[in-house]
Formats: sequence, structure tokens, C-alpha cells
Amino acid sequence: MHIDTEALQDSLQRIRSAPQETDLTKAMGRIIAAVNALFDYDGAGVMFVDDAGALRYVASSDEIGRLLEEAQLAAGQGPCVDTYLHNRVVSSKDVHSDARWQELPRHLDRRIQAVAGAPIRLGGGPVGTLNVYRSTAQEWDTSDTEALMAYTALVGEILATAVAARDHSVLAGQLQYALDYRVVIERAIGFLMGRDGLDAGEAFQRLRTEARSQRRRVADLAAELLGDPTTPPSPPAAAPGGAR
Amino acid sequence: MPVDGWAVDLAEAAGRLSRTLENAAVISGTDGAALMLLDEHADLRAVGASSGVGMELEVLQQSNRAGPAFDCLVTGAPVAVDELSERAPVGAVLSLPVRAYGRMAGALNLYRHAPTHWRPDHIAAGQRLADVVAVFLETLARPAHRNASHADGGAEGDNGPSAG
Repeated sequence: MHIDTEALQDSLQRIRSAPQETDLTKAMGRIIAAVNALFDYDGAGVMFVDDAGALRYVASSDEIGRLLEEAQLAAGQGPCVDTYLHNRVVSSKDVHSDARWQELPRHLDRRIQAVAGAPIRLGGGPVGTLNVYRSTAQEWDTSDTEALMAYTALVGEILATAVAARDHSVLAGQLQYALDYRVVIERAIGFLMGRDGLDAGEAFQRLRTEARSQRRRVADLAAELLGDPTTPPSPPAAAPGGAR
Repeated sequence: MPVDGWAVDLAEAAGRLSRTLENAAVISGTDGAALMLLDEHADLRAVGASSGVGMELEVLQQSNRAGPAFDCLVTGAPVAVDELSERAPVGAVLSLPVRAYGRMAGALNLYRHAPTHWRPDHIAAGQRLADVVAVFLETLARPAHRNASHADGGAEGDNGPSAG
């Protein structure tokens, strides 16, 4: 490691002396805005998992990027959903003719053709995805995916630092919650896989659907499934002014 | 630790910065990334690099009080050097201003071992990367809201940052 920690500390001290009024949500806007200039794609978006265990739209570089996120949320499937579930890069040359997501084209804008998703990780597991698209059908090569992975790793460092700083944005609260209850959710997924012969994606979907129909959080239901009587407390940021 | 209230301790901050510079090199398609930052006395100092030659490049600039990172700070604009002298530790460097909270904080230096023609799109992409590095530094410099937060009803467990 080639870092002069003393110089680092002095310079951080100087940065800290300036007025600070940023939070993670604003930072995410800057992070996503950079993607278009950094990579030669047509647009990008980010989604993060919320306390209900569902991916949620957070930011995009353009309107079409937003449509990509929303189409996947509406269809409940797509490359970015798989990216999150399998914790790895998932790409498609043309999402309109990809047999893996047959429901997706009905929801999807024609200007989105080639799509790639990379997991954004925190504490070793996925908490969201960075998604990029091209408006022409095109294969993705390894230099594309390596650069995307490096970018999401950089984003992960920013997220982890913000969470450690107790950033008071809703996003940071959701991420802290995801970190705190990842283990219990993963164990419940494993339990359902074993009990009902499901794969990980199906088990996660089952857990989410069940939680939604009971109007409960995934972590609560997961704890109950595992026979844990203690239910997790509310995510901190869900009650910013005590209004809940 | 003389300073408390940081989000992460200094060793962890150094690790995160080191990984960030390695990732910056991959993202930019260069051989390495190095960071020089202004300290509290407004001196530009070598803070870190993704490889040994990058650190060398910075220490040289710091002791000469001159070089692309210094020019970058003076002009507030990117400085692209396609071919450095043979004595330099790297072949080409692109220095990009890093602004934290809107104020000049230092320069991100992307380098290649061989001479390189830095095209306008390289420079534009490098600048956006420097902006994201600035977001990272701003986050790193933030105080942890440990005492300041009026944690309602103990919703926050004391399971926060651990340096492990």
C-alpha cells in the first residue's frame, strides 16, 4: 500500500474545515452523473435495496435510464435484478430478445437495447446495482465489465464510509438496515430453499411477496421463519422526525 | 489518535484510499493513479498512489515544488503531459483538479508507463473521475455523527464503525 497516512490526515483535516452540507443522496447524483463521461455508454442508473428487501430506483443519468429501472421493477425481472440476486455482473446484448427475461420487453423503451448491471457491495454482499445501457444491440466485453466492477467498488467505498459516518440520509439508513439484517435474510432464504426446493431467486421472491402481503418487513418475516422471537427494530432513517 | 470523531480510523481510511486509487486506474484505463492533496498549510503533498512509481512521481513533485499537479492547482484546469522526460518515473501523466466542497483540494494524477497522447475524451473522463474521488474524500473527511444524533428511542444500536 502506497499511502502517506500523515499527509492524508492533514489534508482530510483541511477538507473538513470547509462547510459541509452534502449527504449520500446528493453524492449519489454526482456519482451517477459521472458514468456517462467515464464510460462510452448511452446512460446509467442505480438501484438500492430498501428495508422491505426490494430494489428501488434511486438515481439515473437521464430519463431513459430511469425507464430502464422502472421497467425492471414493473416486470420484477431483468439483468439488474439478476445482478443483485446473484451478486455478479449480468449483461445482455439485446434485452428485447433475451430469453431470460421474457416479461421485460413489454415494459421497456425501444431506445434501451444492450444492458449491463454490476453489483454495488457493502460489507461483502450486494446492496444495489449500477446499470448501464446502450441504444444499439452490442456485445459487452471484459474491459467493459472490469471497468464497471471497479466503478461499483469505488461507489462501495463511498457508501461504506458514509454509513460509518452515520450519514442521516434515508439511503444510508436503508443501507445500514441491509447490513444489519443481511445475515438473517440470507439464512431465511437458505431455509426456504431447503424446505421448499426453491432456488435462491425464487426463495427471495417468496420471502418478499409474503412480507408484502402481510405488510411486514422481510427481516421480520425472516426472523420468524427461523424461529427467532426477537424482531429487528425499525430502520433508523425511516423515522427522521419521529413520524412513523 | 489525536483526532476523534472521524467516520473511520486512519488505517482504514488509508486502506479505502488505496483501493480507490487502484480502482481509479482500472476505470480510466491507465497504469496507475496518484493523489496529491493540500494540507492545512496549503502545501501540496504526496498522499498516495496505486503503485510505487506513482508515489515516486509525487514525491519528486513535492520536493521540487513543481510539476503537472502544481500547474493543475495554479490553473484550476487539467494538465496533460504526453511525454515526460526520460528521468521521470512514468511516461505520461494527466493531472486533474480535485475540488472538495467547491474548494480546491488537490490533484488526481493518472499515469501511463509509456508516452500517451491524452485525447479530449480522456481528459473529460479523467475530470469526472476526479469529481467522484472528491465525493469520496468529502465522505472520508466527515465527522461521524455519534454524539450529535438525537437517536430517537434507541433505534440506533451501538454496532457502528469498527476498525476491523
